[in-house]
Amino acid sequence: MKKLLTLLTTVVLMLSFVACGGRDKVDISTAKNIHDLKGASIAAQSATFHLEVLSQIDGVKISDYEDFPALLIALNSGVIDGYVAEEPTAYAECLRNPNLAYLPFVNNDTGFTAGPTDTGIAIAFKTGSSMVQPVNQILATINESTKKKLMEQAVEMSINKNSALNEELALISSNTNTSNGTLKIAMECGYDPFNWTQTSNVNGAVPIANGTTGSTLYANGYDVQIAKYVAAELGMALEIHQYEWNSLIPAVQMGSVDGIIAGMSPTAEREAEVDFTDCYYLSNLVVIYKKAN
Amino acid sequence: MHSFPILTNLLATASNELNFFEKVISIIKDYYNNILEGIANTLLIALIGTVVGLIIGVLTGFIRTIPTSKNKTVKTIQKIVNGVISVYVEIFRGTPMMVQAMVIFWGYAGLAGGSTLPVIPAGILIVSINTGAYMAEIVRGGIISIDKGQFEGAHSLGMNHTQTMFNVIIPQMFRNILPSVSNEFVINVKDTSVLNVIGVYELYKIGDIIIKGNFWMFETYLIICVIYFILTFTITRILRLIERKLAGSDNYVICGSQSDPKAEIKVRSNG
Repeated sequence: MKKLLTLLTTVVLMLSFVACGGRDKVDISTAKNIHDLKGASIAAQSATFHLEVLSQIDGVKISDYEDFPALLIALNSGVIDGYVAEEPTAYAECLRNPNLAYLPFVNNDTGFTAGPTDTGIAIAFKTGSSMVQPVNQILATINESTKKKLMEQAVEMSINKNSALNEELALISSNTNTSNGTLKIAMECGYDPFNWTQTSNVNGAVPIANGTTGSTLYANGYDVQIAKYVAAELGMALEIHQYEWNSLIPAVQMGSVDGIIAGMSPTAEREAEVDFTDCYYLSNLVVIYKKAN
Repeated sequence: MHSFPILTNLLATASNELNFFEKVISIIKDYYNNILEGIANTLLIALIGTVVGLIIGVLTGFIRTIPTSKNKTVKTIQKIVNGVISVYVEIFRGTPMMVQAMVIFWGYAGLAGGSTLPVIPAGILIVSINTGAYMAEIVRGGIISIDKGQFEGAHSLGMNHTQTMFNVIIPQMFRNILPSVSNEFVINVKDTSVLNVIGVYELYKIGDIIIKGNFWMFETYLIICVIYFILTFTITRILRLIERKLAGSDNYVICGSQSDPKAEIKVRSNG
C-alpha cells in the first residue's frame, strides 16, 4: 500500500512538472518595431526605466528580474522571449553568446519613446557640489565620434578582459599633473561594457581602491575611461571604489566617495537625491532574444 | 546613440566557448588569492563573532541569574538591566542579520559624517552582537538544565553568586551547551555571506566579484558552494572531537550531560 502511494505521488509530481513546462514561445526575431512584440513575454530589470517602457507596447507580457545575469538565465532557459537592454550591453552580450541576437530598435522611431534623462548616462555628485560645472566643461570637450570609438573599444575589451587591445584607447588625457588631490569615484564594477572587474591592469584599468587584499582586482570599461579622463583634466588622481548598485547614491550623499560614474541615468527620482552632470553617453534601448535552433 | 559594427574577429573567439572544467580551472587560476582571502575573512569573522557572542551570552546568563536583592535600589537596577538584556535579545534575534548590518553600517556612516567603519571589524561587530542574542538564550537554557541542587549545594558551602556560577554552574553548563555553540559557529560560517551587503570580502562576495568579471554564474557559485561545505564539514568534525573529549571517559557519564549522544544515567557495570 505504502509503495503504491509513493509511486502514485511520484507520477502526479512528474505530470505536474510536465504540465508546467509548456509555454507558448513567440518568435520575435522578425520584429521591425516594438509593436510587433505583441503577445510575446518580454522582461526587464526591476525598478528601472527599461521596465517602465514595456508598458508602451500593447498586449505584451511583462515580467521583471533582479539583475542582468537573472535576465540572461531566464532568456536562455526559455522562460521569456526577450528582454530590454541598452544597445552596448546587448551588443557585448550577443558577442559573448552566439545563441543570442538583438532587435536594433531606434528610440522614438521604431523603438521606445524615451528622452535623454531616461537613456542617457551622467556623472552624479553630492547635491550642491561645485564639481558639476567644471566636469560639464570637460565632458563638453569629448566629441561624439570619440565616445562612439571608446564604446566600441569598451565592448571589444569586455569580451576578452585581460588581453590587450591592439590600438591606443580613443580617450586619453595629456595632463599628468595630479596636484589637485584625489577624486573618489564609485561604480558597481559589474556592468559590461560600462564598468567591469578584471584581474590584470591591461588597457588602462584602474585598481579597485576598496578591493580585496588577496590580490588586486582592477576596474575597466567605458565609465572607467571617462573617470580617468575627467580626473586627469581636473588635475586629480583617480580612485575607483566598488559599491553595490543600491549603495551608490548613499555613498555619495554621505561623502564616502565624491561621485558616481556607473552607467547611471539622471532620472527625476535620482535628481532629487544627487546632482547630475550632462550626459556622457546616450544609449538606444533594444530587445535581446534567443535565436531559433 | 549609435549602431555597432559587426566585430567578426570577436565573434570567432566568442564562439570558441570553454567547457565546464576549463571554466572551473580558469576561475581557480585567476582568483586563487582572492578566494583564499575570502576563506580567511569568513573564518575570522565567524570565529571571533562566535567567541565574542558566547562571552556576551555567558555574561547575560550570569546577570540574569543573580538572585533578586532585598535592597530596593539594587532591585530596581537589576530590573532595568534585565529589561535591557531582554530588549537586546528580542531585537537582535527578531531581525535579520542582513538588515542589522545595513542599519549599523550606514547608521554609523550617517552619524560620523561619511566615514564608514572598516568593513571587517564592522562585520565582526555585527556577527558578535547577533550571535550574542542567540547565545544569551542558549546559555539561559544551559543554566536551567543544571540541577537546582547544585545551586543550593554551592550556596550552603558559603559560595557567593560569582563563585557558584564560575566554579560550579558554568563549567557544567558549558559542556551541555557545546552542541548548540558548535551549531551557532557553523551557522555563522554560512551567515557571514550576508555581510556582502556592506562590502565585506567574505567568500560569497568574492564569488560575486568573480561573476562581475566572467558572468559564469553556475561554475563560480559551485566552487564557492563546495568551499563552504568543506569548511562547515571540517568544523563540525573538529567540534565533535572536542565534545567527545569534554564528555570524558566512557566509564562514567556525568548526570544530565547532553554532549554525548549516548548520554543517559548509567550504572557502572564494574560497580
